Amino acid sequence: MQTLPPEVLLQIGLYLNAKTSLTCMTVCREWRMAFTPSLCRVVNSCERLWRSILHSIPFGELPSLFSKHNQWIRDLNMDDVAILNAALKANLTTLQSLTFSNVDLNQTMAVWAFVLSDPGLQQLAFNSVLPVDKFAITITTTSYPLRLVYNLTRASESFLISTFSTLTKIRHLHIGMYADDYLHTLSTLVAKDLSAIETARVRFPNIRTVCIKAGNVENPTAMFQQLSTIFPAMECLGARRVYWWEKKVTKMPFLVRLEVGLISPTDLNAISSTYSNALVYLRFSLRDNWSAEVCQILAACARLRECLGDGHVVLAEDIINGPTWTSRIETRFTRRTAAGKEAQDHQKALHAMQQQVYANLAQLRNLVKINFGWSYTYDNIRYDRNKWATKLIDKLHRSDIETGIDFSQESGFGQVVSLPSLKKIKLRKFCETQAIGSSQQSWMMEGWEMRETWKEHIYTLVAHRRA
Amino acid sequence: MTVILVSSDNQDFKVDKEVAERSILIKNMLEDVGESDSPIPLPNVTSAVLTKVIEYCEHHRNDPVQVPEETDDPRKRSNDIEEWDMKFMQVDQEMLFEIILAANYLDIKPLLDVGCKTVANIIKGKTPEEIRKAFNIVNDFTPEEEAQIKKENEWAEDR
Repeated sequence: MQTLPPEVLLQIGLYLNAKTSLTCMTVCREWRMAFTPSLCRVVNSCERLWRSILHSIPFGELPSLFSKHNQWIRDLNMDDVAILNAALKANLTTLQSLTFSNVDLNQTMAVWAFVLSDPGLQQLAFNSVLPVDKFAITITTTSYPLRLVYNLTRASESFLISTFSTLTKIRHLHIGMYADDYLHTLSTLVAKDLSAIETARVRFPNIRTVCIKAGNVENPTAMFQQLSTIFPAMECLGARRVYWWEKKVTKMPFLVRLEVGLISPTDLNAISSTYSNALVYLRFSLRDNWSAEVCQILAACARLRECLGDGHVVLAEDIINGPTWTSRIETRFTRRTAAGKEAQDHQKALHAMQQQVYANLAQLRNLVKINFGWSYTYDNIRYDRNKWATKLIDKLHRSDIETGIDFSQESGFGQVVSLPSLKKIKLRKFCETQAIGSSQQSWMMEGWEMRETWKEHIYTLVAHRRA
Repeated sequence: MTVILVSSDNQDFKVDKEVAERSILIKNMLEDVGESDSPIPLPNVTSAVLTKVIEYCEHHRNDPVQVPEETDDPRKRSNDIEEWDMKFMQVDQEMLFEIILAANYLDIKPLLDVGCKTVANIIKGKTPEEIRKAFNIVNDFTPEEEAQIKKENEWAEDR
């Protein structure tokens, strides 16, 4: 039987995790050589396997261990200063990504020396890094639990800004949630006052991902303009606490992923008309329910693969090189019982809305899966979707609320069902009895395999198209 | 336009140029030779394997050409094989290896990737002894080396 040559084994190693790579290294001599690179590609001291490897080796031997394998190491994730320093002493010429996890940067000036030497890093990440008081950063602690606020002196601000602008190959800057460190301050600067960076005339020509944590931006238009100047190559912008108030959206030529906060459909339209040809990912929150308008706007974004919106979710994952979409549509139809004519009107409005939603869904020709999930607000209280059932039963009168998804043929759902690539439909609803559903769905029974469950007031229907 | 490929056991295969050019090796050969009807010998590929490879290239004739990624991801996923490819790869191990070797020789990157993913999935969850058995590999470590490896790997065991 044929054996696989080393270059093929090397390729196979790319698909294996550290533990499996290590197993392969004990198979035979040839495999030991061939799978060493795949073991060493990612050195992660937070991972159990690497933790035990690194901690079982006498400390004095660590630098030589790293030197021996330095050419294979692409990704280093360190949560131990001593090990990190040992690693940095080895000449890591091919390192692409460096992550600090809970490292006290006070103890490891070598890191800054390393980072500033511009080794060609493409990603730099800080996870929950402890505060730093070097470089004359004054720390004022106004503390509330888990969160500290730091103030920077002007000098340290400009140090920071100039530091990161000199790193020519950094593409992604990821700043951990409580990373009250240099980088966090950078993001705060970006959000609060871009003028410091503007005045310094610093540009970050290679940074592609920018996350903004601070909220209450007074002038989003100006901020986005500044962002596009300072980060001209930005591809991903996370601004989930930034609300769009302006009608004009700044064109950022490379932007493909965008996250924003609570916006109106008009804002959404402005975003889509500016970025419709480029956007691959979009996340937003809407004040209103799912509407036909929103669906149209999203359908116009030709490259959109994944989209998350509060109140409804359209999530599509493009399978590599294929025109197939896997989508999850979650929409809320909430109805409160009301008396007399009001109720009739409400019912009509609801039906009209559903028909429009179905008609719009039917435009998504490549839809493979639909999931009519469930989420809604009640008296301005948002229920955590994982806990909603218990809370609902506890707090609400069930008769007040009924999810009114109409699954009948008349509702226009037939159009959706006849989508050529649709394979699966899932529906969850909160209801008193299981009786809801089956009569409405009888028309669908022919082509579809249906499975219904009803447990603790949650009705679930899963339908698969018969082969 | 068609080209003729000749397998190691001297069988002729007439395929569309577009299909044959899924192989970068053949594509480059055709570009070097220019307009010519002379058959292309593939001395490293048997007719059985070439049949499979052509089947793959026929199925994927319209796929966009893969652009080499700027950064190679440190860890790739092996569980995203397309359904058709998965079925295509359901062959005995000898054939699987032959296809991988042919893909490597003919420089058909997507086929090589699918082959490597398939092998990676076979390896996952197996012990070294099971791997040796599955791939017919002889353990060539000396007893001393083996003891050393065992000692080194003790920390990797689940504790």
